[in-house]
Amino acid sequence: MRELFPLAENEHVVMRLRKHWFIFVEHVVVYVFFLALPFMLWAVQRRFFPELFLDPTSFGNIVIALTFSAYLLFVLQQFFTSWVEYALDVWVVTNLRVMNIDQRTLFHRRVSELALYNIQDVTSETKGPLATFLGYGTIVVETAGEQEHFVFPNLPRPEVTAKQMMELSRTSTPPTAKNVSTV
Amino acid sequence: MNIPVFALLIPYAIFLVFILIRLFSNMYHVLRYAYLHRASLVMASLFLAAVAVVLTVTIQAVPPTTWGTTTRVTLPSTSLQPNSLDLP
Repeated sequence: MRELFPLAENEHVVMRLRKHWFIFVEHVVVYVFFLALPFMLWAVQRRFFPELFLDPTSFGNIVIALTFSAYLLFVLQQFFTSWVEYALDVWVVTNLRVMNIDQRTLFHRRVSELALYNIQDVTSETKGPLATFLGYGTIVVETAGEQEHFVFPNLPRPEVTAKQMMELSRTSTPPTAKNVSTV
Repeated sequence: MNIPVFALLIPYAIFLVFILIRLFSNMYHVLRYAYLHRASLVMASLFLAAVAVVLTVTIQAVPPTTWGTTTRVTLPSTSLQPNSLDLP
């Protein structure tokens, strides 16, 4: 915040939003499966082909050990990147504006902000059984003029957040200087 | 055919450099923007610990004492048993 968006004197943070935890759990399930896969293959080999790879200094053993290691390192690295993209994807709502810090890929960051007084309509959408039971959904903020719509996917408690944002926009007044920008 | 173990380690080392660059890039993001998510520091520590475990096990599987040696490529025998094609 202090680095990406210096706050004005009369500005304070009202909400700090990030994606629902279940969104990351979906990634965890996939990566845990890929991490477990070589161990499962190893168990199958030990169970059904115990005569293979008995000599630890053999060509086959060394190649398999290095391939196994490289595979695990690659999956761990991808898992870590997935976590960074989840953790650094943040929406910050202050009493004056909404800021979106979107970590799309490791070297692709999109930072945008929207003045609250520009908000005309806030829509929340909860779609699907999992989203309904776990309470997450999408918020679409429509603005005045020709600016793009702001979409906040997979936020927890979208109805409550949408209502709070709409109330904040009603109490917000246009500043003297233009403070809407997209980076 | 004998192959030096060192030759097998070269592609692994190149791949390892690629992985380490990605890991340090991730760490850079986590440390720089740690104020956005405090738990990211804990998660980053766990990932680094996991990477350290994988590297440690790899070094145990292919110890440095073997890096200067050669390894023999032995293919499994495919010769048929004398009576395996006997028809009844």
